[in-house]
Amino acid sequence: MPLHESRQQVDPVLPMVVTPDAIFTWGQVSDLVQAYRSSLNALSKKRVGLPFHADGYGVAVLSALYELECNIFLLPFHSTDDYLQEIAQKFELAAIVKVSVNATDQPQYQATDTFNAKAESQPGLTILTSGTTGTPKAARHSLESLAKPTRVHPSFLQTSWMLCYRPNLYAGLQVILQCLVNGGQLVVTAPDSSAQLIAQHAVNAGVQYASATPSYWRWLLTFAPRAILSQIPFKQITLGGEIVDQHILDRLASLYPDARLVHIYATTELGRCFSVTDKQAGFASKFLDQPSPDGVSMKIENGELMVKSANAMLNYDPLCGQQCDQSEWYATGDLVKQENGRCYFLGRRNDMINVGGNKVSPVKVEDVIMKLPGIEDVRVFARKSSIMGQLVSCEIVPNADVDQKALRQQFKAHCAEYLNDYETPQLLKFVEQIQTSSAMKKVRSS
Amino acid sequence: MEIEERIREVFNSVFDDRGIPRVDMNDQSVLDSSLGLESMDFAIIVVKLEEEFGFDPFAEGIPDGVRTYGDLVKLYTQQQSVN
Repeated sequence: MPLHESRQQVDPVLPMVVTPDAIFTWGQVSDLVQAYRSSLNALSKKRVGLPFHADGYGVAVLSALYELECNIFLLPFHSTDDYLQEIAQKFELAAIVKVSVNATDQPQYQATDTFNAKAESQPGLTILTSGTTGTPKAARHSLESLAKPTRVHPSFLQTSWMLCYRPNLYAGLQVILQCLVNGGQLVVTAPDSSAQLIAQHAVNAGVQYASATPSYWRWLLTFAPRAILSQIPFKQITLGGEIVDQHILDRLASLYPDARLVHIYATTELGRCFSVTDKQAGFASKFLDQPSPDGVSMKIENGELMVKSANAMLNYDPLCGQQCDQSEWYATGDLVKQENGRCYFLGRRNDMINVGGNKVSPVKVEDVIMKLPGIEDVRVFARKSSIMGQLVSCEIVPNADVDQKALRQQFKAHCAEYLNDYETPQLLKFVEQIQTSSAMKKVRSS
Repeated sequence: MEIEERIREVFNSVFDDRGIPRVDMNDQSVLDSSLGLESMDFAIIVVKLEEEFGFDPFAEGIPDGVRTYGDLVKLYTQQQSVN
């Protein structure tokens, strides 16, 4: 990342990244970037994969690779070797760069069979999104396109931002950029922390800005003690990634009456499209009337939000098999209704299940389950949840002679091996017959 | 069966499903990771309680002041008497 300007301007003794275990100063991270640039020099201008953790080492290696003009494919930090190998082959990556948590050594990189492949390698950050088929789409952004929506202002200098999104995805990168281009300190939480520990970490680090999904806020507000929550000196609270309902806005407004409340509509492909600051769900219909000052146009067609965005990605990676014409309207898949001068989101046009902001393809989950012996048929569908938005539910038709208790145990082990936690069906019923619609399609709603 | 017992059974089924030891909860037990439960587990418990009781007191959002097991039992007891 071109954070060298910030690095030069900020006092090197100030904290840059604060984790529950460590504080990395701007000076320490600058030194790491210099060292990493030298040790990773052979990767200059190549396509590289980076399982990304946003501590000081991770930020430093990301900066170093960016300065080496790599096309960096951002990957989940806890990726299996099989997944990394599959991605490396599919996208002809020259290497996978690994930084161990709390590393003191140089980052290691593992050259792949495609080290000298000739696939196009324009500098940038490539974000993998899950598609309906389970095949990832690869959206390439330049740093300029990612940083365009960030607000740079002297009042943000040395402010404290909490990262609650996965750092390898668009929303997480936005938080990291917004914080660091302003010379702020990035507060990183451990993914398995309790709500109380996260709230306490936010108090200790003096967090003023935080962005998270509505599900995350519901969880934090429910399980962290109010006495600790109320001590977080929030100036701004941001919500995004899911439909934002009035209840969560009201709860946040009640607990933090002086904080600015913002909800953002953004996608990996389109970038940030608009934000709403009036503490009301939905957005004003007048947003549809004319392009926004930063170049986003919107319209509703057949109930679906259509967008053209100046903050959009540069292109899909040629090897992901997707194409996108930036001059055309982009169908977001989000259904919208207009009522009294306001637009409200109704949900997705397709059937992807949204578990606390994580998208799950029911078809992919069904494919995995059907590989388990003893199963006749399966239906995976969304079960409405007041806590997570949706949960993955499934109905299984077992073979006639199967022991259902044993099958339930095998099912759990099988899912744990082949699915992410959030993809694993949380509710399982054995049924005699799968419900279908009149068109003989599996019904996806509960 | 008492409401509290029915709620406890739902919790136990989730403990069992997750393969973690059952916790002997009391009114002061905080409903967070101290029980070994994650936010996903709590979402599952609420869905299962809806199947058990036929209503979801969280449907309109999470009411303030529901932090402990005792708070939860009280919430379902109150809703049950309304329904």
